[in-house]
Amino acid sequence: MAVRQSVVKVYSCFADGMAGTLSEIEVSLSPGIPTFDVIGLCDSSIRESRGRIRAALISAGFTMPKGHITVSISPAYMRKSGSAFDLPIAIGMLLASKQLPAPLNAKIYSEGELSLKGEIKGTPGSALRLKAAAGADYSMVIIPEEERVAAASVGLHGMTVTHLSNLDNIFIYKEYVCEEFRNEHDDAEDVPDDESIDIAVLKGQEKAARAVLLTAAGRHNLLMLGAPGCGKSLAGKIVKGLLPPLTQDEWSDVYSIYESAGLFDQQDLRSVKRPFRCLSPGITVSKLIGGGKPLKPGELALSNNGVLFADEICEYGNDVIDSLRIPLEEHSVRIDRDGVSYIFPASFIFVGAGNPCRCGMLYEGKCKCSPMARRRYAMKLSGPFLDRIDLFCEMRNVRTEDLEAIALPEEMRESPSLRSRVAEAWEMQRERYSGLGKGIYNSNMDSDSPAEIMRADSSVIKAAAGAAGMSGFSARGFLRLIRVGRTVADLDGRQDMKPSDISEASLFRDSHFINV
Amino acid sequence: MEYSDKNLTDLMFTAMRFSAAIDRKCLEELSAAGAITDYRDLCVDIDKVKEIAEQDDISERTSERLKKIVNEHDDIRRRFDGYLKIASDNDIKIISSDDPEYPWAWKQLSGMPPVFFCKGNTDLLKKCYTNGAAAMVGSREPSYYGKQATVDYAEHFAERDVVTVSGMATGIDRIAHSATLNKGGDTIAIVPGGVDVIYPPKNQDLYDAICNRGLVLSEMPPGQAVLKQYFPARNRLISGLADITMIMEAGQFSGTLHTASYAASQGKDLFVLPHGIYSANAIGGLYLIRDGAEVIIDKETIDDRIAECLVQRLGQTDVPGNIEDLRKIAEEEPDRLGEAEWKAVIMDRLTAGPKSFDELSGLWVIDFSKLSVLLQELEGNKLIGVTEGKYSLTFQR
Repeated sequence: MAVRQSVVKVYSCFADGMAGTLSEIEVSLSPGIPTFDVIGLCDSSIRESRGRIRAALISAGFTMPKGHITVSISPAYMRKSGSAFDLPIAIGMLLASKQLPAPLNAKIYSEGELSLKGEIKGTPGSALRLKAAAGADYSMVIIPEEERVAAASVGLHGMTVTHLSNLDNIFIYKEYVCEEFRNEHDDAEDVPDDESIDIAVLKGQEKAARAVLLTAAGRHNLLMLGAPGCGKSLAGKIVKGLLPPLTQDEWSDVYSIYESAGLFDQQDLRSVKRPFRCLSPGITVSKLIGGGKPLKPGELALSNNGVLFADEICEYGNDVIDSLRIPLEEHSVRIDRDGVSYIFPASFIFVGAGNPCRCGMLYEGKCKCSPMARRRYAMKLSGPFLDRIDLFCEMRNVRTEDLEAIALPEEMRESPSLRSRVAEAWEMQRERYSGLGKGIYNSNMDSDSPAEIMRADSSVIKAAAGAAGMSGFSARGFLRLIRVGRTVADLDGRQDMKPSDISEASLFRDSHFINV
Repeated sequence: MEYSDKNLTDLMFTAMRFSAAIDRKCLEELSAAGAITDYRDLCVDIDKVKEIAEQDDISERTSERLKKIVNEHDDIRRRFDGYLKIASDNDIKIISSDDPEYPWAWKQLSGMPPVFFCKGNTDLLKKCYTNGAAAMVGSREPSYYGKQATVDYAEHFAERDVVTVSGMATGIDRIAHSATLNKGGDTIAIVPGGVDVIYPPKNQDLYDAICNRGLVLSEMPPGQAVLKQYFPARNRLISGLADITMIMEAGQFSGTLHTASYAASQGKDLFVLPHGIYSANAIGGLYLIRDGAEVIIDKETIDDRIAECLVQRLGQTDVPGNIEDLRKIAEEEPDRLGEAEWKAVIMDRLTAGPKSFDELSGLWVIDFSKLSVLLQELEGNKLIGVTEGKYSLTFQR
C-alpha cells in the first residue's frame, strides 16, 4: 500500500544571543490518528504554537488538516525558543495539505507569530534573524508587516503580510511581489538631542572641557573625579552631545540589539539613536553583562556604539568594577551558558564619575578625610581597572575667579560646532585604520606597530617614553599616551603627531591615584 | 670654515699662551696694573706689548714672558698659521667667554679657559644649562658591574634629556658616551689634546659618532698632541661643565680622583658608585665615600639633585628682564612671551601656593595645548609637581 505522505519544507530562523541561526522547518502530513507534534529541542513557546495555529487557520477560513502531523525544526541539536515559527509552520501545513498550491522549486522564508484570529505579528529579535536570512538566497520571503523596518535595516527584500488570509493572494492568485524595503532612517533628520548638555556649562573648567572633547573625539574612556555637586554627572551627557549621528552600519547594529531586547517601539525610528546608558551604584553584574532566559543583552552590550555613563563609580561593588575590565579591553562581552559562548559587541565610550575621597572635597582643599580613609577610598578602583582608563580629570566647583577668566577661543564655545570637529576626527581615524578592520578608533586601535600607523615619529615616542617614565606608567600606559596624543592631533586635523600632543595627553594621567 | 676677526685674535692668543706661557696669573697681574683691559689687547699690537714689558709695576716673571712674545713673534705667527689650517680643515669652532655659546657653568667658576675649541653640535652647551648635565667618569678597565651601572645611568640620562659629559677615554668614558648616543641622548666629550686629536686612536668610531651628534671640546689648540700632564687640567673642565659628577669606578691612585677633587672644590655634588671592598680597582671610590661623597643608590636621588640645580639657576637668572614686567606682559600682550618667559611667569605664580590647571589657564589668555606643554616640561625637569590635582613648586625658593 502506497503511503500518501507529503512533506513540505519552509525556511525560517531563530536568534540566540547576538547570532541568528537559519533553520529548516519540515512539515509531514500522513494519514492516521490526528496528532500534531513539534520536535527539535523546542521550548514551550514553540510547542504552544499548536494551539495558536489551529485557531488561526480556522479564523482565516482554512481547515486544520486531518491526519498525523509532525513538524521538525532543524538544527535539531540546538535549543530554540520564540513564537516566530508560527507562520512558517502554518504555511508548511497549508502547502502539505494542498489547501494552498505549492509553487514549483520555491525556497520560502517566513517568520511571524499568529494570533488566534489569524493576525500576523512581529516578534523581538527580528533584525538579528532577518540579518541571517539576508545572507541566503530565497525565492519568497514572507514576513509580518511589523518587521518592515527590521528588514530594511538589514537589506532584506520580500513581502509583508498582516493576516493569515493574505496567503491566498500569494499562493492562489500568485500575487507575490518582492518589495525593496526602504530604510527610512536615511531620511530621518539628525535631530538634536534634548537630553544632551552643551559643553559651555564647563566654562572656567578648561581641563574638564578638553577632557570631555578628547573623550568624544577618540572614543576614549574617561574618569571624572570631583566634589559632590560640581557637575561631573553632566560629563556623560556632554560627551553624548558631542557625538556625531549614527552611520548606517552603526544604526543597523544599534537597531538590532535594541530590537532584540524589545527596548523601543518598532515604528518610531527616532527612538533609534546613539545609545546613552546610565549606571547607578545598585547595578548587578548580570544586569551589566546580560543574562536571563531567553538571553537578554546587558547594559554593556546596549551601550555598543554609544556612551556608558557610570555615576558614583567609587560606590560600585568590586565584582561590578572587575566585570568591566575585560569588556573595556576587548570591546565585547562574553557570556558562557549551557556550554555555549555568546559574544555581544560592546564598543562604547566609558565615562565614569565619582568623588575623589569620602567627603568629596579633596580638590576643593577642604577635605576632612584622614589620609588612611582617603587611601582606602582611592583603593576602591582597582589598578587593572584604572589602567584601562585613557583620561583622568578632576573637576572643581566653579568659583568666581574662574568665571572671570574665559580663555576659551570663541569658536570652542558650543557643542554643535565641536560636534562637527569630532565627526571629522572620527573620519580621519576610520580612514587611517581602515586596513585594520571596522569600528577601529584611537581608543581601541591595537597593532604591532602603533607608532607607524598613528604617525608618531621618534621624537613623539621619546616624549611619550619620557612622560611615561616620569609617572611610573605600565606598557599599556605608554600606548595610552600615544593614543590620546593621536586624538589631540586628529582634533587639530593633523596627519602627523608632534611631541606637544604627548604633553597634552599626559595632563590627563591618573596622578590622583598615583599620589595616594 | 670661516672665522671672524675675533676668532682669529683668540687663536693668536692661544698661540701666545703656548709659546710664551702666558697664564692666568700673568693676565690677572696685567689687568690689575691697568696695562690691559682684556687678554686680546696683547694680540693686537706688538709694540704695545713691548711697552708694557718695560713698565716698572710689572713683576719679573710676567715681564720675561712678555718679552718672549716680542722676541719669538715669528714663531708665534707660525704656530698660529698651523692652528688655523688644522682648525679650518676640521671645521673646528672657536668659542670665547664673550660668546653666547660659552657655558654658563664655566662663567660661575674661576680658572676656566677664556677660549676653547670644539667640534659638533654647540647647542649642547646651552642644553647643559637648560636640561642639566651629569659627568660620568671612571676606570679605563672597569669591572662588569661598573660597566653595567654606567650603561644603566647613561641611558637614564638620555631618556631624561640630561646631557652626559665625559673624557672619551677607554673604559667608563667610552661606555658613558656610547650608551647615551645609543639611546638618542646628548653627550659632550672633553678631550685632553686638540679637538682633532683622537686619543686613544682606537676610539675613532666613537669620535666620529660624537662629532656627528654630540660635541667634542678642548681648551688645547688644534693639533696639540696629548701629554700626560694635560689630563688633570682637562678633568677640571669635565666636573666644571656638569651639575653633578659621578665616579663610576676609581682605583686608589686613579686619575679619576682628580676629577673628584675638582668637583669638590668647584662646589659640585659628587656621587660615587659603591663597589665591594675586595675590588681593588674601585677602592678609591670607597675612600671618597668615607670622605663624605654621596653614594649612587637610586636614580631618583640623582634626578632630584640635577633638578635642584636647575631650579636654582633657572629660577634666578633665566628670566630675561624683570619679573614685574613679565607679569604685566603676560596679562596684556601674552603673545609676546617666549617659552622661557612663560615658565618664569608660571613659576612666579606658583610661589603664592598650589594652583590647578584651570586656575592657571584662567589667569592669562593662553592656548590649552601651549600651557600643557609648558607645565609638562616644568614637571619633567622636576621644577613643579602635582598633588591633589594642583601644581606646586618642588623646591621653595
